[in-house]
Amino acid sequence: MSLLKVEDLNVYYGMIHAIKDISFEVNEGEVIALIGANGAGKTTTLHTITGLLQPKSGRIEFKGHDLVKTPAHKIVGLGMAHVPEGRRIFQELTVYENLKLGAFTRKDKDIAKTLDMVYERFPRLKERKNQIGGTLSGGEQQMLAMGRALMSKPDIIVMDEPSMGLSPIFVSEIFDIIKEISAQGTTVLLVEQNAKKALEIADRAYVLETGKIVLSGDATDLMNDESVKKAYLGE
Amino acid sequence: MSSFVEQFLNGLIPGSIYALIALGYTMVYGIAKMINFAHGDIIMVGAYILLIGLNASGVPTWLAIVLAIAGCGILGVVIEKVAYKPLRNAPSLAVLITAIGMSYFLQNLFLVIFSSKGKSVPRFIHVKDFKIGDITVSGNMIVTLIVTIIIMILLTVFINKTKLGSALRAVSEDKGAASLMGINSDLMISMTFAIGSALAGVAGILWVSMYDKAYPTLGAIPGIKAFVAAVIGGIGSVPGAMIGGIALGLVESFTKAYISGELVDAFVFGLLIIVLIFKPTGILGRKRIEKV
Ligand SMILES: Nc1ncnc2c1ncn2[C@@H]1O[C@H](COP(=O)(O)OP(=O)(O)O)[C@@H](O)[C@H]1O
Ligand SMILES: [Mg+2]
Repeated sequence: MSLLKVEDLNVYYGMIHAIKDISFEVNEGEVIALIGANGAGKTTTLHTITGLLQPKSGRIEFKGHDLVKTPAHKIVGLGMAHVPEGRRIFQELTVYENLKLGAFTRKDKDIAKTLDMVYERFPRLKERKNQIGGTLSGGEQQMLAMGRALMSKPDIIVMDEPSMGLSPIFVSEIFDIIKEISAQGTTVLLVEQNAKKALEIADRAYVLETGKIVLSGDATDLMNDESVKKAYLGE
Repeated sequence: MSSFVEQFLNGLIPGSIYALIALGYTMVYGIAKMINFAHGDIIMVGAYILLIGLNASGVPTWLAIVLAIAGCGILGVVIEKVAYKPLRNAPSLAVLITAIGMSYFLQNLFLVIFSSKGKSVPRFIHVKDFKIGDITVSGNMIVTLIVTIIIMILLTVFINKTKLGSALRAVSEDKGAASLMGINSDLMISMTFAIGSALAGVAGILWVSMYDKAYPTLGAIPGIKAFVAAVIGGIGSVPGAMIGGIALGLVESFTKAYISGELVDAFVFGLLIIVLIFKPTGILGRKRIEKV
């Protein structure tokens, strides 16, 4: 069943036409990869979905809600969490405070339970719970950004280049965690420049080039596609 | 020695009022990244609301005080919505000019309504003077100190220990990321203006309890002094505003007592310059990287 549906989306920065008529779909339970070179429009797409940018035209439907008309701060409450590019954890807040803000809109009594789960998945965060966010290493900050997103108990988690700037060990760890998150039933929309890793864990993928979707299909098929191999897998 | 203690108190009292005002500058700067130059004039509005309340028959003193504080809080929110919010994405020079314009608007509005002649405010704090040895501490001073200390404690707890406080800090650091958490940054900005302006209202009340006259430009001097205090403490830093305000009051008082009454402002701005030379972000200020 389609969880998130983007149709004929167009986004501009002033005169710059950054996203050109893109359409794609994310079904419940899937891991979808959105790959493309630097500047292709991946971040712009995610920012438009979670309301940080307004599209010029197009539709974004999530669980029957029209996200184009939904203000950014109402979207997480609908069940969509965004792990933004560059992590954007709150540098001056403690790890614990960052995580608590992830559950800002929740009114239920199970927040403590979710926090325990997040600490279990990221033991480093538990060890550093009273540390100020800005003092964490890049990899730890990425974990914090993911943990913070999980605190909202999302149906879908969108991630923008979670492996960016991390050492190879952390990159593998992050991708393992994404697999786990997916295995536990959360839908994932993953934006990556690291196409190889992304295609390895994705069910389907879309390839973005200068604001347009130029290719899409099963991740395994794309991995064997000659043009993808050449342009994105360095083979 | 007793004269030293006396001078200390003489600095501590206006200093704590500066600190209350500086808190408004610094909180608004922290979240909206602007200097609200009309902030000082809110003090004056608070003084007039208090005056009207005290002079109206049938209005008890406590109600006049509450009305003055609430009126200032509401005024702050309205000013933000009407004058500053439309300029959220405008160049900072436009915002600065608007804020200065708002300051002139308030001063002139009250000039038209109440004329430039000062109106004396009846005594409304009836706390007995206090004697320690040969030093007399007036009732007003005691009330000012206690009120300031309580407000500082409450504000510190609110900002650092509550959910709303952490949301406030999140918005001042990164509005985009905060909205991804479900935090409505417009609401947080309104709340900050309400709190900061209500504190200016408290400052106005304490100010007229001390100097017992209300006039349209009353807010200008404490406003600018408190702004300097906020910069000294580190604009954007809440404890910085408290430290800056009190430091400034003490410097004023000691300069007046031991150096020269005419050099007070020179020493105040000298302190500002010295702090900024050694720490350009102020005593507790930190450099921040802006994110879209
Ligand atoms: N704030 C901005 N103002 C103007 N142009 C922008 C802005 N952000 C991104 N762009 C442009 O939009 C295009 C897509 O950028 P982006 O979505 O960040 O790409 P990606 O995430 O795929 O690297 C690029 O050409 C980029 O230069
Ligand atoms: Mg990007």
